[in-house]
Amino acid sequence: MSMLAFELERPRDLASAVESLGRHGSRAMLKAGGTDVIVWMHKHAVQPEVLVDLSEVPELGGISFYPHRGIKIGAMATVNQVGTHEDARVHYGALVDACLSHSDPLIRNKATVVGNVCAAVPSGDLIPAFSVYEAVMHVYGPGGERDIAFADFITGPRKNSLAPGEIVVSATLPMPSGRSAACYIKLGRRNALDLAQVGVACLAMQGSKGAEYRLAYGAVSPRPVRAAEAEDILAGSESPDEALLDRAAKAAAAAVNPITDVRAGREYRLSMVEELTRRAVSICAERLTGRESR
Amino acid sequence: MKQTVTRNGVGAWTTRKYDHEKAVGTLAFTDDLRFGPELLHARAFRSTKAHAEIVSIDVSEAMKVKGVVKVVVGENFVHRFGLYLHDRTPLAVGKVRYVGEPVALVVAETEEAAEEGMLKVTAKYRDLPPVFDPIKAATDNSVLVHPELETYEHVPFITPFPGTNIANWFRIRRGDVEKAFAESKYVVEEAVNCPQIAHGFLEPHCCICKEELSTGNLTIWSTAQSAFALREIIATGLGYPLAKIRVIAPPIGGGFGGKAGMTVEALCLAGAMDPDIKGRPVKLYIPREEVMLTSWVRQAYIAKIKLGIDADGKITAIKNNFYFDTGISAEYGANPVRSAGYSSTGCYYIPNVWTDSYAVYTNKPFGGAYRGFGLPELMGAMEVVIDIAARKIGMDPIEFRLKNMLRTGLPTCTGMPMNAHSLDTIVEKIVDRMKLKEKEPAKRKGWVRGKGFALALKAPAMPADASSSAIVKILGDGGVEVLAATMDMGQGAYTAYAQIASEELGIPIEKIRCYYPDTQSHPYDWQTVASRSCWSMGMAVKRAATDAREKLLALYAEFWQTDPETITIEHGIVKCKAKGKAEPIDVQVQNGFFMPSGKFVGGPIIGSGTFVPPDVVNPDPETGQSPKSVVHFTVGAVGVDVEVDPATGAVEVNKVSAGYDIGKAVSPMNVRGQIEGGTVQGISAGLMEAMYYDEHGKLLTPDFTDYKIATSMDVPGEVDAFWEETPEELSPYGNRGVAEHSMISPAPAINNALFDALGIRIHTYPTGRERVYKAIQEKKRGETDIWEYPYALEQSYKNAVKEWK
Ligand SMILES: Cc1cc2nc3c(=O)[nH]c(=O)nc-3n(C[C@H](O)[C@H](O)[C@H](O)COP(=O)(O)OP(=O)(O)OC[C@H]3O[C@@H](n4cnc5c(N)ncnc54)[C@H](O)[C@@H]3O)c2cc1C
Repeated sequence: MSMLAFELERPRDLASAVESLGRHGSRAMLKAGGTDVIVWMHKHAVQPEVLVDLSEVPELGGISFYPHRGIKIGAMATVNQVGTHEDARVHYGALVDACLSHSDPLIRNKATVVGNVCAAVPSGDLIPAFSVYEAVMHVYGPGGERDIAFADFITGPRKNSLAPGEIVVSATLPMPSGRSAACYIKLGRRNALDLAQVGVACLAMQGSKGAEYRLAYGAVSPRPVRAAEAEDILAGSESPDEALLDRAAKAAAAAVNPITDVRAGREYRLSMVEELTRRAVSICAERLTGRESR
Repeated sequence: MKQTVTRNGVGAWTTRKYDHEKAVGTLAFTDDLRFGPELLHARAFRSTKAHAEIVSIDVSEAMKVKGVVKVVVGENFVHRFGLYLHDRTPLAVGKVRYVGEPVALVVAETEEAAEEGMLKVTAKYRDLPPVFDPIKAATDNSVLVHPELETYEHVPFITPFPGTNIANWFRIRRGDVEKAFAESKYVVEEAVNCPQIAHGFLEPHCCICKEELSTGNLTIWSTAQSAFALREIIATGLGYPLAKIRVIAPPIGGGFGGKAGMTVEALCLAGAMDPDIKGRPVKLYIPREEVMLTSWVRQAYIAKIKLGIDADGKITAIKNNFYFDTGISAEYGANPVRSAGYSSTGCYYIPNVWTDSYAVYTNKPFGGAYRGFGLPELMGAMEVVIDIAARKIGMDPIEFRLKNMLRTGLPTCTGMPMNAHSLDTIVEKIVDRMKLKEKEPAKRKGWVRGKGFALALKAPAMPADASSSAIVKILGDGGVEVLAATMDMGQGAYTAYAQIASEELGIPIEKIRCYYPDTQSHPYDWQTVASRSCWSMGMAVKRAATDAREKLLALYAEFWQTDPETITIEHGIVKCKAKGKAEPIDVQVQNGFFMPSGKFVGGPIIGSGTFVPPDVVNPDPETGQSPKSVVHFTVGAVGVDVEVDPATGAVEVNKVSAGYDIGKAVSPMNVRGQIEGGTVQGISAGLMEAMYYDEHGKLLTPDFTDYKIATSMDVPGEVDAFWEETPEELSPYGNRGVAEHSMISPAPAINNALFDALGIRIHTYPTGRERVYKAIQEKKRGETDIWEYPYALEQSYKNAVKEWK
């Protein structure tokens, strides 16, 4: 398999990028880091005639953090930039864990966080983190700017709700309220460079009614999935005991719908959803009641 | 008296040849060669069916693609190739036999055009029932993968069974096993299985072929381990004289057996020899996703082993049934089956032996040479069964092994006496270093720890008459060129040969060069396989260097009017103490010496050396018996210490220790590299490697997205590698083979360690996380063993929940 001939366009600003997309219509695809789209072109899974490379668009770079609004991740921010960002490390544990679980240091220098989410592959490591932080996607396109709630962003395997010609400019992950702790646990077939068999993101926040939990899962359903019932079971409990953890874990397994494929069987994935839920919740609860918020 | 002095001779720790070029990135691999605008590019169109008649192939749309020159199909190039059995055509002829089999070759001016043309070829098929399960294929002849088997040529030491799917049936018949079983106190019968695995070399196959228009001479540049074997296989397949074929083998990026024999070259020749194309070079680069579909992988196997043991714990009889799944070709794969067969008592002395080792055709990509060549398969099963047996009879598994060890002089299963070795010392060291007799608590919270052990053994697996030859040239400035057609694919052969030349010539290693193989300049060598090179080619290089030295000493002796015995070569300086002479080697060794007689004598000094094992006898086809079936066995052992997370099935290897009796470390740096590398490769194979198929025979793990190999994060930071040096009699420096051995037994050692940790026996490789987790669940249900049949796994895709689509 090798790549077929294609044209590369490298717009210098956002307006030209959108213009480019408009001009070529469905013949064109966007490239951010290219670690997904180039591989897919190589395998003929997608065959754009034009590749619009976003790497020279200045509006898309950068990561900014405002304690009230949260962290804003530019479309061209790489997985390593986000994973090593100081404010992210302090306030967005699940995001940072997810970044550092992604591929290896070389790929992380190219791959973008937004590209990971836009690719909408069910095993995408950043997706569960975006779910628990209830990210907002800032989009620019022929119709101007708009925001899409992350819950509405991914519509199926490799499908997102962008309209033709739209580009994700950045994404904001709102600041969790109060004290918080979060983590992402990924299970793969080996310790590095693997796609998740199961990924679990957990965010615990200290609210007025006690601890509040958010749980989201990767690689176990066609769309991002939150385990609402499990979150309810855990709500209010700062140090959930085994029995509560088990109930939450069972509820989480009921919320997901994994397939059997070459990476793992459905049964194993279900068992691991339970196990990783117990672990992720315990870690967050411990951190929440401890000194450090993360 | 030794007449040479050097610092970098045999046994010295030296830096390695070609490492610098590799690190800088300037060493040119096959894909880096440039041929200018003449070059055409070839791309294979592949079968989507596992077994079907080809009704028609439509190339008309492909021919319309700009730049496509020709589409070659099987009927255009009907030649059968093979090392041991001519069962392989480069393009499917009449029938396809596996998903991924090349059906047409698109040749075009550019890579893109070839790719586009390939996408436009279509074929119509008439489905035939496929067979994927080797046991079914071996025992039920309703589907024949090669109905034409009886027409295929083969070497005499392979026994195919026409009318069946058995491409080779190797037997050992020694003593009376049934009687011994009847008389033994314990009988243990166990089975182990393992799917196909792949080499995972970094550099995919690449080949450029050109037919010279006026003469028909062929030149082949290829990622080949064995330039000469490749030439011979091509010559035989085409009916060409050897001298009309030149094979150039540039440096290769890893081989592990995957580039031995003839791999992709005939497919490339189907393009380059086409009447519409010949005269122009054609390049065939196999993309990563198609490597496992284009050439061989390691055969899958199912091994059943039955042991009879007496009250003392002595093994009295063994009965082995090995089914090797060789896919659609056994041209090379017939021989690992034989190799496992003639080693089928492992490291043990067992008086009564019955072995049936089969190569079985199925409709899958094919099996062939892979590091270890039948022995990781054999030992993967045997060392597990030995462990089970020891525990069943209530004996410590290590004591059980020591008690039954194949000690020096005892007969192997072919009746040949075992060579000298110090396996017991190695066992002792590993037991000690790994604290194998101590239970230690897990280092990680909530995990369980276990330790495991396994022995390893292997002989070079090759025809009885596999030979080597070398040329050593002394240059006019005291430099040396060694022509030895071994492929240095990272194992460090050229460093070892430079050390040998340095040892024999007294010339520093920096002044010695060894070149990559070219059949036009190099003398013959059979193959770079079988852990044979440093031994067999080492013999030839030593002889060639000795020959060159003797020629040089004779010339200096005449020049200085003294006896050759009074002359030494020390660090490149030729000395004669008696005559008070000390001169660096200079241009006289090239142009001749002006002798006291008033005449020029000499001229360029060329030493030559050849070697063929003198006394190997192929095993008898009926009984497998032979006074000397192989040249020697290298033995060793592996100890591992693992931990398991019972909640996920994750396995971490805490520590591994591996030792081999290699006779002599000619190049210790490389010996260490081989032991470390093979150990890691063995751990990887044991823990995660597998090729999986769907129910239609489509490979689900064609690239590294899903064919997983251990990363540095998955293996212990350090491999405790060591060796013993019990000299081999017939050997350049007492050395034996070592390159493959380290890959053989890490997997069974891990398997045994997992049993120690978990108390349930896993009979199926690899022992990945999901399988280990399943085993833990089975244990909770009271099971003692878990066996997952890989062919049932293929079936499970049928039932897989695929609701997302
Ligand atoms: C060796 C390797 C290892 C990998 N390991 C992992 C892993 O561990 N975990 C994991 O989740 N993934 C992994 N991946 C997959 C992939 O690289 C990641 O998902 C990556 O984060 C994608 O980012 P990118 O910038 O490279 O995306 P690109 O390939 O540039 O784009 C991905 C998709 O998103 C679209 N897109 C990109 N940017 C935008 C935008 N701003 N607006 C709208 N659409 C856009 C593109 O058109 C394309 O369809 C791996 C890939 C490789 C090659």
